[in-house]
Amino acid sequence: MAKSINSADVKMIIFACEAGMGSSVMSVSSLKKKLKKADVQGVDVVHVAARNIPETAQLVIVHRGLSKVAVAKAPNAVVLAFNQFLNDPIFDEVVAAFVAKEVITGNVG
Amino acid sequence: MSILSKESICLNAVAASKRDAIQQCGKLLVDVGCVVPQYVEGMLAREEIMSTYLGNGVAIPHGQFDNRGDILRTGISVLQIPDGIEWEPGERAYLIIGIAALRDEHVAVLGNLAEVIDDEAVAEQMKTTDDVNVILDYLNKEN
Repeated sequence: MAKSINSADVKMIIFACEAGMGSSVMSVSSLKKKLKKADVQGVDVVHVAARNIPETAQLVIVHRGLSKVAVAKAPNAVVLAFNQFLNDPIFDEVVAAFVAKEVITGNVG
Repeated sequence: MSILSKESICLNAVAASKRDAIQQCGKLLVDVGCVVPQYVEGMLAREEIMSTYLGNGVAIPHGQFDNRGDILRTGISVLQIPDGIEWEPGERAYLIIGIAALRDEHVAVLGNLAEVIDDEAVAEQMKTTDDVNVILDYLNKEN
């Protein structure tokens, strides 16, 4: 079942891609900029290789092709899968949820 | 040794195929001593699994997690193809950015790249310029 978390409780957003050196780095840069623009503070955004997702992860954003790996690595995390590395609509939805301090519900699992 | 230097940028290139473009882009990384030739095979394999096309004419081919052993030092290469090469059905890539990263030394350069992709006028300039300094100035910009 998909998990939920209150955005106000999220300290770190984790972007994962296969190698952790290209696509997720770009996505982190893009989301950080959007969060800054929206004046959202107190949440860090980092990139990792999918196989290195920490078990304690709270919110993991991952390309749809790797969503199963993310759920396996962090069964308690809210996992959001996207299709495009830059400008996927989900990035704006995440920013809006942080601005409004809403609950974020995963779309995987 | 910087992550991105003149030596790892090739302007006005022509590619026969996407595969050829990745091989040329990978060879730039080999020639500046960032990776061993085997890494280029990893770049091709990665692309088979999932396209590294980002949008706005930019692709970022790189190896897979298991190719990290083929990386000697973190580096980025740029292959500019003014005529473009079809990367995905209906999508042409004009700037091919090769990535080989051991740690996070390249994050600033990719952050700059994300800004370039967002700005169509800048992206257009990068795709057509014949001055290597234009590419260096945008991607090596200090924030």
